[in-house]
Order: sequence, then C-alpha cells, then structure tokens
Amino acid sequence: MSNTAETRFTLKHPELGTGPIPTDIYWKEDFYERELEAIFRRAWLWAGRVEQVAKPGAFFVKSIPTFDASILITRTSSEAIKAYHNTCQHRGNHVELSSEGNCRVFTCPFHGWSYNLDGELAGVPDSDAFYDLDRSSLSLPEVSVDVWEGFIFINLQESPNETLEEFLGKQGRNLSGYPFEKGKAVFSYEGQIDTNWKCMVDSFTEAYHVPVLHKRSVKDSFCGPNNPHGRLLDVDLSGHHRKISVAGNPEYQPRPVQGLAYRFSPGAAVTSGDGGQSENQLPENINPTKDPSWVFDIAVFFPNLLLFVGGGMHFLHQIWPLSANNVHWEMRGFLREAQTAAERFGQENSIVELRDAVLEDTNTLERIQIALKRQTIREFIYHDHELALRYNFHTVNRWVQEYEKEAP
Amino acid sequence: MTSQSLPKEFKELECWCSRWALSNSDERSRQRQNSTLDELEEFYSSLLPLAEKALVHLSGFKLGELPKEEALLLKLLLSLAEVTPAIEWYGQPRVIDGLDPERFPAALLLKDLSP
Repeated sequence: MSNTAETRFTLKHPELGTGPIPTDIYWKEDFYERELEAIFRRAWLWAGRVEQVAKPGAFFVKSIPTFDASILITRTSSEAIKAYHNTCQHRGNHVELSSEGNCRVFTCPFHGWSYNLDGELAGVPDSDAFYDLDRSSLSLPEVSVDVWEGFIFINLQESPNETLEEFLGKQGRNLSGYPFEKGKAVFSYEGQIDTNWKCMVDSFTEAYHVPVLHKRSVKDSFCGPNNPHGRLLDVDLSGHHRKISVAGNPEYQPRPVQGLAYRFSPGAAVTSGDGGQSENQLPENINPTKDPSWVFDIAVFFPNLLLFVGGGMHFLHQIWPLSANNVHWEMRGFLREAQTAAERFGQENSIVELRDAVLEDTNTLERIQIALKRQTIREFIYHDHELALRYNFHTVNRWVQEYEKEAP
Repeated sequence: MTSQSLPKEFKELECWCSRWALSNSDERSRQRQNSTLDELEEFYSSLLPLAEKALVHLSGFKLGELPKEEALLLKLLLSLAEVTPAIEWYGQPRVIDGLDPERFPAALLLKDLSP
C-alpha cells in the first residue's frame, strides 16, 4: 500500500490537525459529568433489534448502565414499537422484571398495577381506596424510539433535537441494505472493564495494532505481505460518526481445524481473510474502494455502538460508561443460521476465534487507564490510520462545547 | 456410560465423551481453561484425523433433528472448536496477554443442537 501525501487520510481533514491529542478527557471525572449531559442524555442510543419484538406483545428490557435506567421496549397491538421507562407510576418499582417475553399487560409485581402495551394504566387493585386517581396521567413514561435497518434506538431527551434519520445521516445511508436480517444466530458476552468509554471504542477503530497485538491469532489472516502494518482501505468521517474499511490477507492459508471450520460454515468467518467473496450483494458504500482484499467495515455510531459488517457475519460492541474510568461492555454477534450439524461447528469456530481475539484487544485497556490516571501519558500521538480516534476526540469536544453554549 | 455412544465410524472417539461432550460454550471454555496443554493436544490430535469425515457425516443431518449419536459427535466437535486456538494460536490453554474470560461471561449462548 502506498504512503504518499495524496493517500493520507488525515491530510484530507485539515481541520482535525495532525498534532498530539491531550489525554485529560480520557480520565477526568468532571469532564465525564459533562459528557453525560451533553452526549449520553442527548444522542440516539442503540437498544435492540426488531426481531426481539417480532409480534404484538413481545417485549424486552434494555438496561442502560450509565444511568441505572431500565427501558421497556414492546410492540403494540397496532404494530408500533414503543419504549417506556420501566417504572410503575404508583411507587416506582420495575413493572417488568423479565428481560424478555410476551404479554398483553405489564403487571407491577409490587401492588399489581397493570399497564397495557400502549403504556396506559389498565388496572389498579382496590382502586376505590385511592383519592382522586387520574388514570390518564399515570401512563408509563414514554421514551423516544425509532428504528433503522431493524436496529431499535432510543433517545433520553424529552423531545430529541434530531430525528434518528438526521442523527445517523450519511453513515445510516451508507450501511442501509446490508442483510442484517440474515444474522439470526445470536450470541453475546458482557462484562466490566476499568477503562474510559472512548478508549474502548477507539481501540476497535484502527488496525495498526493487528500485526503486533494479534501476532499469535489473527495477524496472518489480516496482514499479508502487501499490508504488513495493518493499513486501512478507507476511513470515512461523516457527521457524528465514522467508518473504517479493513483489509484481509487473501493469501492466508488457514490452520487445520480452522480450515475445516471455514469449509463448513453458514457464512464467511471474519478471520478467513477473504471477506466472504461468495456473498457479493453488499451495499455500494460498504467497502467503498471495492478492494478485493476487504474483510469488514467497522462503523462507529456515536457515541457508543460499533458495528462490524463482514461478508458472512456481523457483530457489535456497545460500551456504556459507568464512570470516567470504568465501563459496562457487551459484544453481540449475529451469524448466519446453521442448517446442518456441520455448520454448527463452523459457527462455533467463528465465536471462539472472535472471543479470543477480543480478549487480546481488551487486555490493553486497564493498563492504559492506569497510565492515564497517573498522567504518565499526557498526549496521544496518532498514526495516519488512527484518524478515526482523532475524529472521536474532536466529535466529543464538539458535542460538549455546543451543548454548553446552548445550555442556559 | 451406555448413553455415550457415537455413530459406529467414530467409535474410537468415545473415550473423549465424558470429558468433552459438554452442553454449552461456557462449559467448553471452562474445560479448556482447566486443562493442561498436554491434555488439550491429546484431544486435538485424536479428533483432527477424523474431523473432516465427521463433518461430512454431520452435513447430512439437520440441526434440531439430530439422532443421539450424531448430537454427541457434534458436541465433541464443538469442543474441538473451543480447544483449537489453544493449539493453533497460543500453545497454551489461555489466550496469551488476554483478559480473563471469566470476567467476560456469555450472556446469550447459541443453542448447540437446534437452529
């Protein structure tokens, strides 16, 4: 891959500069408090998939660890997707304790107040003993909700300053049409890590680390002789969001069991190096340079969702800050459905490889966070292909500054 | 155990069933972490020569409609998938310089025997 001024990504965005980035915002609690108000209370946040509310009465509860919030999402009898704060309007208990299910009314397990799928108060045991009970004012508090390509997003503002479509902008349009509905076999992992939410998001938005950090695992399937340093095929900065296109190594010779797994897999594994060439019906702006060595695009939906879209599978990470120095993290993978027992083996190989590689990715984060807090690193120096990280710094600052300028 | 019976072409792998025919990915991961590299290598190298034949065999069976013997064979192969990075990548049971997998439990598991 060439290395001329013309091919440099960062130089195409002179407003972002090329200099070092101060690290204060990656560990300071006072800045984190500002981020909560300016970003997490205002941005559209991913909450789930439409398949989780396939029919009227189907529901799931999404917890938002950042705010200790519990959001109840359901499909009403008129097929609308609705989101509510999972809070009984009698005394404040959670109305729904199950993480998912099907029902016609939500009944609070405390005193039995019940709510219909539209969130309206439907039943109050021994209601005669209340004073001036105004049922119409006692609906479950509604949360703004909208859907893009089957992904359900919520917004915690009472009236969002942007629609979901406006918020997603070009990034949403670029990924529209990807066969997300084929990812029916779902698995997930979650846990807590002592890291700043931005460091964790950023750690997945460059491939410069791949030949080194992943030298024992996926290095050879991503970094061939013509791309020894994990250079990106493309970096696309659009609005609040960003997307990188990652190359594979088409020359990669899989190891023995791995090779069998690739042969008996319902969709190409992201580690196979060939990007699932069999599946070529991808939208125009995924792999925008149409490089034949493409493996996947990593789309960051600001602030905390990373969506990896490959030729035969997709997966995501969602990162919820708990403080400036700690996150709750979920990885959810969506594989093509296995028809035969042999394909189930291919699926398992994809899961195990992805999990192990991600354990490598995440192990750097807690060491970095300690260094940040001890201020033994005060600036980040970004490589040209770490542009998406530089852009995140600017985007976060822009959101905080614009919000504070408008705030009374 | 009498119920631990594999399709007849794969009888020689039955000795592995008590240790490696497990019910989900959490159990497989734990078994990998709790094994020595020698134990993993022995399992891997016993399965590998028959793995292709086993997968061709399992290609003829729909997931969700598996006879007991084929279900057991699949369980062994899923453990082979779990063990493979320890052999093909790391040369030790655990990820080298990796986060402890116990801190990162599966919240949602793929069902082994149904779609």
